[in-house]
Amino acid sequence: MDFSALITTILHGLTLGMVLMLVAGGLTIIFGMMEVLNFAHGSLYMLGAYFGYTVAHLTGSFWLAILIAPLAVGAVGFLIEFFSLRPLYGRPPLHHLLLTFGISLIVQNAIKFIWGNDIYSIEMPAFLSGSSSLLGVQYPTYRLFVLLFSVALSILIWLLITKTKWGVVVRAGTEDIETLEAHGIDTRKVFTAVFVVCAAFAAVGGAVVAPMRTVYPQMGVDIIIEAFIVVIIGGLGSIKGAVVGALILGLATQLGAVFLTGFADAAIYIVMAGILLFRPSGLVTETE
Amino acid sequence: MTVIIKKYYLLLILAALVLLPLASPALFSDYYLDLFTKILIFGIMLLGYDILAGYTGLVSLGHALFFGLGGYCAAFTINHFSSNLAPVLAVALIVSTAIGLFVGFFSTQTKDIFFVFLTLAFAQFFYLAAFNMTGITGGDNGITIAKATIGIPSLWTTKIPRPYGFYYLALVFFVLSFAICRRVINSPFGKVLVAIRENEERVSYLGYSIRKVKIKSYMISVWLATVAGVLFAAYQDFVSPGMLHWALSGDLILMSVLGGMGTLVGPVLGGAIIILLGDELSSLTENWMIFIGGFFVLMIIFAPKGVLGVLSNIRWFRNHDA
Repeated sequence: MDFSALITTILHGLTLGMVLMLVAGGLTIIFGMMEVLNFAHGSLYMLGAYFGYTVAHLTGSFWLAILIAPLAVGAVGFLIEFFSLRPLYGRPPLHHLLLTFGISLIVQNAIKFIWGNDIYSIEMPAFLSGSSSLLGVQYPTYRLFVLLFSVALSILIWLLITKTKWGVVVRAGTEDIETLEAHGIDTRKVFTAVFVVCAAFAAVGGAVVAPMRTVYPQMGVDIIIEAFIVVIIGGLGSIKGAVVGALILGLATQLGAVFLTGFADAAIYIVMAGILLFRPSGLVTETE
Repeated sequence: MTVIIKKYYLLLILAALVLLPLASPALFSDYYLDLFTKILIFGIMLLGYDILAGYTGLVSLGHALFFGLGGYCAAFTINHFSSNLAPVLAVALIVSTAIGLFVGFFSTQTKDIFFVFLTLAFAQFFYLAAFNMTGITGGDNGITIAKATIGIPSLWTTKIPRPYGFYYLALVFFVLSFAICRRVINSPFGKVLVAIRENEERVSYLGYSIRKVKIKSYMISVWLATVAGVLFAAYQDFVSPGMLHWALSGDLILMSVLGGMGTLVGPVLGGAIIILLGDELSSLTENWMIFIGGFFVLMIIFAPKGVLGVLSNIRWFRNHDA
């Protein structure tokens, strides 16, 4: 394998990892705060892609698509949180996993009902098509855009969490929800807000990868398994862990495709089993 | 709260399952016989799964591994070695014991959600192997299996007749599995399983080796899933990687929770509901899972103990001597 092919593979891996981060980041924040394992997070990502497709199809604007999709999905996220998660807070985490598993079935079949089994794609803006040269490699411009866009969004999340008042509440919430409540903060509102924002980020992810990965009814399930693996190997509830996990998984998938031809999909499971066997609680475990 | 159905009701249900198919084809057409055969085969797997997930509290998302393993073992043994069900079961059980011990040993190192995903990882690995090793497994196209037989070689053997033969065969295996599982649950070992589910730490203070007990519980569910897989593959004359896919493990969880986990009867009831309801609804729309999903969501919110939990609140079903 020559050097430029390796660069391409690594760039592919980073792109994939950062897209995963948009889903896995939300997953891990939601778990850290509310102890909810949101199996429907992949469905929100998928809804983002479908809403994005419909907006792009109707208006012809890619930018409008990635703007409206997260807003619409945020609204769906609000409904899910308000009507189904809220009554279940305080119950064992397994209940939430099962509940959101049921929701993902509803969303997936509703999507098939509305959009059918066809595969769609969003057309990318003209100036992002083609390829650019980077480190001596010709790399698709759109993928580069997705990489930078996801990095920018991840930095935005990071700034929100570390630099704003809102972020202080979220971080306090992942540490100790009762103390937060004792300080007079309505945690129920915080939960709803966190869920909606995380849903919107997942939706942006879905809409922005649609031009390179297509839109199909299984995409939600595909990404949620990967995202779960990311947060599991990274350490549940840890945002740092999600970044590490997403990058490991992205690179493992792409390198696996090169070195384990015909068996590439297994790479992520091998990596996960390997990490869990030696670190049963994931790579990054915050001290209690 | 444990829900135990009276023996009286169980015998009544058994009598119905034995006699109804004989009573009249109008009451119990071949079509429903087929559905009930599937319900019984799934029931065998669900019983084992309930011991692991319902009683021991270890929710696995990789149980399709052993269902599929049973299926593929059946395919290879029937097509290349012997079509007799006895050696087929023996081969499948030996293979699944080896793989089950391996996966169980490592998976039980973790618990809760990590157990869920480690079992998933192992199962997906086998799914992808079956999917990608087209030379051996036929890949996505699967393997067509010759007709399975029962009997004693060189004395008397017969192809398992359909639909009645398979139905009663599944019924026999189901009743045996049920009796075994009930025995296990009511034994001191069964109490330890429940104790582990409730408070693992305390059980370890009593001197039990948690890991060993968990592996034993895991193996019971592995064996029953394997038996179910063998029967299912032989019944369908066909195996495909779908039998190994995690979606099937997800269905198991769905069925168990819907019926009521940790009750033995509940998961089987849940399986029957989903299979029958799915059959009815699929004639209505191909996206029938939307209704199952909705039903499931409502159950989790309002009745997390499942259908059996709801039934046990009705006086007529309540077990007075428990």
